[in-house]
Amino acid sequence: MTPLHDLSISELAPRLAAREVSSLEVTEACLSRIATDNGRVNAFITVLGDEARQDARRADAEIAAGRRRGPLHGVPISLKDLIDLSGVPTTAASRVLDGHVARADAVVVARLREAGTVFLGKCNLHEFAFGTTSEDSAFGPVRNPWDGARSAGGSSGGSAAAVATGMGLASIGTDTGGSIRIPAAVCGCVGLKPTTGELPTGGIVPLSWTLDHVGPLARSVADAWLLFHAMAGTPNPAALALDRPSAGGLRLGLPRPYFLDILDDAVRAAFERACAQLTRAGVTVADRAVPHAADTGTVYLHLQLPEASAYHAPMLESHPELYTPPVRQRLEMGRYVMAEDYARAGVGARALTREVDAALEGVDALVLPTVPIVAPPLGKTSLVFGGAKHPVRALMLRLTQLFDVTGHPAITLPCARSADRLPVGLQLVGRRGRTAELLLLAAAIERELAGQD
Amino acid sequence: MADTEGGDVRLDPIEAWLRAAVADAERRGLPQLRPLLEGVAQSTRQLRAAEWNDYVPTGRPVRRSPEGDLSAEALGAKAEGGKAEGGR
Repeated sequence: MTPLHDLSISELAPRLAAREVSSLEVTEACLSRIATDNGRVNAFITVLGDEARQDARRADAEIAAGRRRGPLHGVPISLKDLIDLSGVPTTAASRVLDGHVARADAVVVARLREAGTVFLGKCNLHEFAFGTTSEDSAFGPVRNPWDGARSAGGSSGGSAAAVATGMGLASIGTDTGGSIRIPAAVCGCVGLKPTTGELPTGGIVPLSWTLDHVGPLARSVADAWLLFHAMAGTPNPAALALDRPSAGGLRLGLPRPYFLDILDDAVRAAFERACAQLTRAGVTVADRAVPHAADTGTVYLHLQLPEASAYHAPMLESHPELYTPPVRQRLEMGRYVMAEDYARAGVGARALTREVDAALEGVDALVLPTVPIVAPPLGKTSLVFGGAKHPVRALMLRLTQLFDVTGHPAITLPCARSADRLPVGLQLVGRRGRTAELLLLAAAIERELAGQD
Repeated sequence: MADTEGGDVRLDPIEAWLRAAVADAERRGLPQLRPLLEGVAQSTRQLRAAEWNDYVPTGRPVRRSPEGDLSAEALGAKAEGGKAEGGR
């Protein structure tokens, strides 16, 4: 029998509703897991044991009184520690925010609270979400649950590690260049970046106003569906909608140029196996292209750097020594980007958006790997494979950041393990404004890939 | 990266920007920014060379209106030709 802390929300919810198990029991199971595992992976910055127990007891009482709010009622989850939770410190994994306590819930937190979720604590991350490995944190690096010498990905590394180890049934993260999908992929979770603007980012420390997204990291697409709808303000979506019988008949577009050019052997093999399995299941996989995909990095840089620097300028002036050196240097670099190039990048973003829209014509979604490599060793800044040396940061962002720039919804699903048992993710990209449709499709793909290893 | 125009030696604008940025960073006690700024400069060259910038006169002879602003007429002609906002 699956331990309580390892259940999916979709498995737990009916048991909570039937009062076969209490929210307090599940919350205690997760807190116990945090007590035993957090020292190993360093996923949490703040653990809210007493508060979580209190919320769980309240949920149990309401459910017992016939006032069940929906499928998330009594479900214990965590938050990336740049998302405000009223009365609790928001650190953004930085000494810069020492002493800062949130005065109100972030908008999505208020909606989750209304849906009855229980908040276990705040998760570690790359400082101010400005990195892809969760190594530069004032609270120490997050370690990959499957190999403690490797990164958990980032910037929502603590969230992904928590979900992968049973320290909560799900977590809420943010994604500016891939910060939900990257850690979800390398830790073996589902991670959803919705369409730009679908979920409000009020009450969340920004990295880049035009590129920031908030979304769930979870154990299944069905769980991501529940959390997405709760954060969108529709906490009781029709669960039946996810019951598509099979993936047969779906049409996926595979953008080979650029996206499959640089992959390590383990990811390439896993992705090819997944595509072959989907084809056998009746999914059509057709070639597509995003002609200027190779320009994504430069567009991203000229948007993200100056926006991050604009937010941080007062703190860079008053307390520069409180940043970790790599994050401070990147923020300082952004102060030199010229306004005309920021404007050019905006034009580039619109061009790329049209190209992704065009690539989606005639297919239900795009399919591609999520990260070109498995979790990198902590401390590595570059990796050599395929006869070339690649910066880790560029590799990690390579396949995800385009969809932050264009705004298309994207989700990563676990699709395989490497020979070293490290998770590999498969990414699906849908039409703008159609995140719910992407989730339906992803649920069908998830079922087809279940059991692949 | 120098260019000549009307007898004057002019730096490529991105090279000029890089020199100024590195000098400012060093003045502010941040010499370690140099390699990062060199990376930004390389990225900025790529950005300005992208096809969607064809209607922005980067590094090419600039047609100017009598007031010295970019020629709206020229920009309009490019836009009507289907190249505005870059692209294909």
